[in-house]
Amino acid sequence: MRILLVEDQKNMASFIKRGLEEERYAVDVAPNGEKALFLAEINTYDLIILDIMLPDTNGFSVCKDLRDSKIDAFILMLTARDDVKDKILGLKIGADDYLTKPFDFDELLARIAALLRRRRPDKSPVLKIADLELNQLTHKVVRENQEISLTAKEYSLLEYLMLNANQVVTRTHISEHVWNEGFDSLTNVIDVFINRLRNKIERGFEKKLIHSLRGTGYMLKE
Amino acid sequence: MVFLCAFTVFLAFVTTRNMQRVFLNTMRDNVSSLKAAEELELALLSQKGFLANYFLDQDPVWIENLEEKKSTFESWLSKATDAALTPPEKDIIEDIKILYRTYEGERYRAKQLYDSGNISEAKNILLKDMWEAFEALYQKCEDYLRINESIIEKSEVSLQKKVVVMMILITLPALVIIGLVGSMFFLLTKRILATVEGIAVTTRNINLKSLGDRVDTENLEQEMEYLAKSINIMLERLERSFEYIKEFSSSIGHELKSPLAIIKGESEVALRKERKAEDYRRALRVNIEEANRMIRIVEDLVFLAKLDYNPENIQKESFDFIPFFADIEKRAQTLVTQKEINLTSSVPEMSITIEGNKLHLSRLFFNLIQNAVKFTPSGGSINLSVHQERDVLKVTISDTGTGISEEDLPRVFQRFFHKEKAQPESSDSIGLGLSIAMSIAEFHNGNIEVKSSPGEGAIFTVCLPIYQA
Repeated sequence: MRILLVEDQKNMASFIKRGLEEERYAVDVAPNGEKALFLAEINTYDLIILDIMLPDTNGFSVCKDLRDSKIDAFILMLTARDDVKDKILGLKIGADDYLTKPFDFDELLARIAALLRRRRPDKSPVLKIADLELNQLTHKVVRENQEISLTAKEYSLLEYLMLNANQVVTRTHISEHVWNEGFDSLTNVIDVFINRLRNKIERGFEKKLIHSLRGTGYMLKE
Repeated sequence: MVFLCAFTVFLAFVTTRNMQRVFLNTMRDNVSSLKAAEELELALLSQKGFLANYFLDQDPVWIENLEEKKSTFESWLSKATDAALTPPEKDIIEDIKILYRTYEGERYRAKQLYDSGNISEAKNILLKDMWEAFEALYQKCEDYLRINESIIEKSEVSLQKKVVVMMILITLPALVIIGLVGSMFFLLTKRILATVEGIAVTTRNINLKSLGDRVDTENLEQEMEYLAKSINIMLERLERSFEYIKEFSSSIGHELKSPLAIIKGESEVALRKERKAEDYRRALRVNIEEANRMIRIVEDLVFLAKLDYNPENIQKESFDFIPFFADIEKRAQTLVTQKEINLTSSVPEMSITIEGNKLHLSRLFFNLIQNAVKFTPSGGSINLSVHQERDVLKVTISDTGTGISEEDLPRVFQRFFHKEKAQPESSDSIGLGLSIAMSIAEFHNGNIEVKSSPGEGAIFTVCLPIYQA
């Protein structure tokens, strides 16, 4: 899951980014409105965390510009302004949620998870395909009652594949949703990670789940 | 009202007092007539007795006594003449005078006859003619006495009546006047109280949420309108002050929330799992950084509050500005070299004395220079210049930075006004620097002017009064 964090305060952006990355999110930081709009145009984010007080503009106008550009990522406004009028304005112009600073980091995580669940018809935090299960809350991956230990990146990759099960997922899609800005999509890093994942979830099991589609990408199916 | 009552009472008092005096005077006149009549009777009676005694023992002392009583009688007669006011009194006095002359003539003749030895004839005159004259005279004196008595009685009654009438004449209109004035006063007071009540209700109902309410100034008397308008002006000022405080405290809240959110968040993230010592160290460093930021905000706010509300505790001294500014320039040099900005200056070679607090004034100039450095990109330049215009010292700080938009220009001195450059490193500003600079300038009876347009840099001019020894 890829998140854009729009926050001008260096220290604020720093801990949110680190905290989210530890929760297997890929995070890019935009320190102002202009950079935020630019990044949102060229990348596909699943969620945007938007501060209201920005050096060049304010979060409300960024939110409006994002929606005007048909960017449909979830927008969570995160700000020190706790006036009800501000909350209403934010929600009216296209934000999906509103959280005031100072906040509990766990609450931020819970709200992000809740927003991301809305995309799926199945609202359960446990994703399933065949006998493979992935719990988004505990980050545990289990196959045939056997727990499989994954690294953060491997988990993110598997989560993305499971969220898009039975669909073709291109390398571009993967790079956009699993890796952040710093990722060079011209390398074969994705193929390397797919291989590692195959080793962990398919070796020793009967059924093959990750299917390579020559020239396009991958598909996770039974 | 009280004055009116007192005045009426005073009037009544004076009038009755006057009446009483007239009454007493009349009485006194009548009483003197009465006294005269009594004395006349007494003197007359004695005269007759003394002559009779003289006839008996021929002692000349009786004649001396008689002469004495005669002069007494005459003096009382003249007093009675003066006191006689009414015609019957006057008539009687006239009669008494004539009769007394006859009586005296008889008496004189009787004495002469007696002295010449014609005793029996003298006795006859004394017992008959003179007796008759005496009787008539005595009767007249009695009449006079009675007339006076009745006059006194009558005047007593009529005076009493007059006093009562006068009292009524004075008291009734006075009561009417008091009543009228009183009711007018009552109505007026009621009306005034009604408007005052209106004003009171409005002011009583005003609280923090309804500071926009105003006292109704329609249909009011001039004085009340003046009062109501004064109250409204006061409310206006209060509303503005509260508006300012509200905005200010919400800004404080916002400014303090950010570092608090960072301290909380950084700590929460650090504690989510076991980490390397370096990670904890970083979290603590960030927390200290943010705590320092909060300390700076609080210190600046305390300083501003001191400048605004307690300026008399700040010491002032008179000093030469030129060497003071040379020191500031030297320290500013270290600020600009880090960012590769060219600092130039033009300071006149003369002595300009000002009065002020050196510490605060250097803070003023540093804030302005820091502001210039912040908005001037590397390779730009900042110029400092000092010059004197009549009795005002002018210091300009001009830069080649990003400038200020027309919309932001009036707001740059507002507290917590941020105008950051679009770069993440600039977020350590707390938006109080220019506001503090302005407050310091105002504390020194000076001010700061700013001229700028976007992309063309900014010129801040500090004006301070020159010290007149």
